[in-house]
Amino acid sequence: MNRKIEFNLAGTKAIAIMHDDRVPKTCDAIWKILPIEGRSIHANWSNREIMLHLGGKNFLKIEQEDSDVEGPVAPGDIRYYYRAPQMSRGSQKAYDPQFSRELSEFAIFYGFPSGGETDPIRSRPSQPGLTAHMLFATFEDIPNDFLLKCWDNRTKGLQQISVRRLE
Amino acid sequence: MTRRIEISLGNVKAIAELLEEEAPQTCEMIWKMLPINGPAMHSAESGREVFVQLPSGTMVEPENQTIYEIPSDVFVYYKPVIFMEPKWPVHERVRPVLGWVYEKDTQIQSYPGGPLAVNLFARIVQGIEKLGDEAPRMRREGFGNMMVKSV
Repeated sequence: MNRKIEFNLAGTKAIAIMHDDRVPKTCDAIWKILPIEGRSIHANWSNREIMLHLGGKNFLKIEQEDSDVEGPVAPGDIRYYYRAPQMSRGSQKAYDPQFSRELSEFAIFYGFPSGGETDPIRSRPSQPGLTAHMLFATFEDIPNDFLLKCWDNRTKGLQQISVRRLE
Repeated sequence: MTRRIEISLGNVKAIAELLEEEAPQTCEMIWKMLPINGPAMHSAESGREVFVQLPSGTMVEPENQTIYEIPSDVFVYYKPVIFMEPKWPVHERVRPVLGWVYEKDTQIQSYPGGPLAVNLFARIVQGIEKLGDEAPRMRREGFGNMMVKSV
């Protein structure tokens, strides 16, 4: 049975189904830290993507699981992503300081073009110890108001976001 | 004497020198267009780039092109519209933009991916640190206008 999670982005909601059957360890690790909340920021490499960084006690460093499902990024994908500190050469002042180099996050792909093609890291297979990215959930549907809030992230700045379990 | 332009973003200003020997036609085209004023956008596909749209119909002939942008580069090129609008317009695929890079980890991207050559026509010589603080601030708090004018 695949579990479900709900995203609430500045009052707009979208439900995603977890891929327990394909990446069970990743789903379990994520399930344990829910609910979480924070502020989402728009991607600067991956087009239609917003990110929720996992900080403090919610920081997750998970080994790559089931690499054959990485594949191309598609709208609706929600991926766990880890990046080692040395993978970023410049400073990321738009992020909270704890994420300026090493980070773990939910990468939420909300539209087309989504992710892979222009991102030098996400477009390639994970590299052990350096990057990990697992497709752990997919939106059942992306309501239009949720989409618009994602786009607002790009022009209006950070948005409040939370993720919770749906039993 | 080297001509200079002032780039304003939000609350900060920077000065760039035109590369008139390397890109004379592009420099002249931009110089005649000044002042340029419009909503600034942060790249969502190329890294640490901020850009402003140029007037519709602006012709950008290839000159002093590069695909290896570095911080302080100022350039013009045709950006795929899908990188700046929520959807593809019916009859428009690219728009001319003026952009600059404020930090490493940047390469201007084509659609659907891969490096896109830009006309490098100026270098920021003062204030890149200020732009490098203001652009991330705007990513967090929302974007404002960019102004480019002659000095």
